Amino acid sequence: MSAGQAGRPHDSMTLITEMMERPLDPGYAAAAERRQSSGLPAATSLHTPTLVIVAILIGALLGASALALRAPTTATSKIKRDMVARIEASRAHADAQTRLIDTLRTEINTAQAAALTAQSRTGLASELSKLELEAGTVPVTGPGVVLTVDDAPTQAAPVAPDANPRTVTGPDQGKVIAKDLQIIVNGLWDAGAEAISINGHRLTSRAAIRSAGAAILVDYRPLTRPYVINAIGDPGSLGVEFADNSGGSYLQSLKSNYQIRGDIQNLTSVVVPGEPTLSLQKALPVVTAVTSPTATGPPATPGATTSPSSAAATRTTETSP
Amino acid sequence: MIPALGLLVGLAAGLFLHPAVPLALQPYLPIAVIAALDAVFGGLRAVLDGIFNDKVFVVSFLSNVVVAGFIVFLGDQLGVGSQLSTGVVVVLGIRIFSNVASIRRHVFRA
Repeated sequence: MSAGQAGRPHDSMTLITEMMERPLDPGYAAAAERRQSSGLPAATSLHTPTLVIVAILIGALLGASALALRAPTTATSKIKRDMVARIEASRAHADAQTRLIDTLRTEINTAQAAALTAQSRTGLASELSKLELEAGTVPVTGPGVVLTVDDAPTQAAPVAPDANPRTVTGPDQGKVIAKDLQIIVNGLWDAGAEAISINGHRLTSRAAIRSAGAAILVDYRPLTRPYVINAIGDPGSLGVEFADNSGGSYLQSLKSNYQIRGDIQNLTSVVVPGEPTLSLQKALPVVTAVTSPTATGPPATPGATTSPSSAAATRTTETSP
Repeated sequence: MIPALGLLVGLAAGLFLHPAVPLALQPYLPIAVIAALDAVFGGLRAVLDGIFNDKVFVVSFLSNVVVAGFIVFLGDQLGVGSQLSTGVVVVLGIRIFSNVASIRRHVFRA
């Protein structure tokens, strides 16, 4: 190289030139020289036991580190994958059980209807179906409104994914929270809705809209945005009254102040699914034998009706504790 | 040829026997790998140059690994572990590339 010329302009680069020009361990050359001076060939045999042992050692080192250094990423993600798999399995199991309950309930209903008609108590049968409708155990279809509520369009600076949620200050103002849904749903009840579901979850008298951290739970099941609220009611008055009452004005202020999206549309046919997991909480035995087929008084509440009949009276959604 | 076979045997053993590397030694593994590669390519070049010496090879491998590990350990103690690791990787990397270039000249005459 030209660095070897007189004056050595690259004196400051000696370290690098040394490394580039003579990367081989000088020990090899020295040892070869020693061996040659004592009359042996310059190179030793490649089959000495030490060499083989060291070669095996190096191979083991490479293999072991390949495994060990890949492990940390899999170790953390393995736990996460495991958890996700368990959650999904549990959720699938719950869904299967819900479907089973659904089919069993329809069986029970047909059997009930058959038994009641056999005893020619049509009054009880119609009373039962009316109460079921109000308790929310059966799916209902009818005219109503579909209200879609969604978070505001994302702002410019999203939170870094690894940021500690405790240090992130200021809640995201554009997010729909459980309280918003509570107020909107109560507004819909107020406007005369007869049955409401959010994202396919029927709001019965025992379903609460709650928040758990950032998630919104309806009846202890988490929702994902957008939040689609199906409400059945008089198509003429429901939308108008909702727009007038506190729920509607609350939604309006959310829209104008926080850019939360809320879109209401009237439909001639809205499907609100039933809540199949309502269980019998309170049953009173019929004290006296019902003689009149039109017995609809409170003491003669049929044992099979689910949930108290106050479902119709207190049409407000629970607030979170 | 036999050392190459030994390398493969060791590689298979390391991959299939799953030796447990103590957690305390794991930070030194990457550096140890680079140092081992440097020794291997240095030895290969010496073989092609006709001046290979098994004792030099073994000593250079062991000292490379030990010194590289020690530098990283020292850096960790001083709080500059990553910088010193980078330094070791740069130096050994340059050596590996130069040795490979020399091996290439031997093998392909190019």
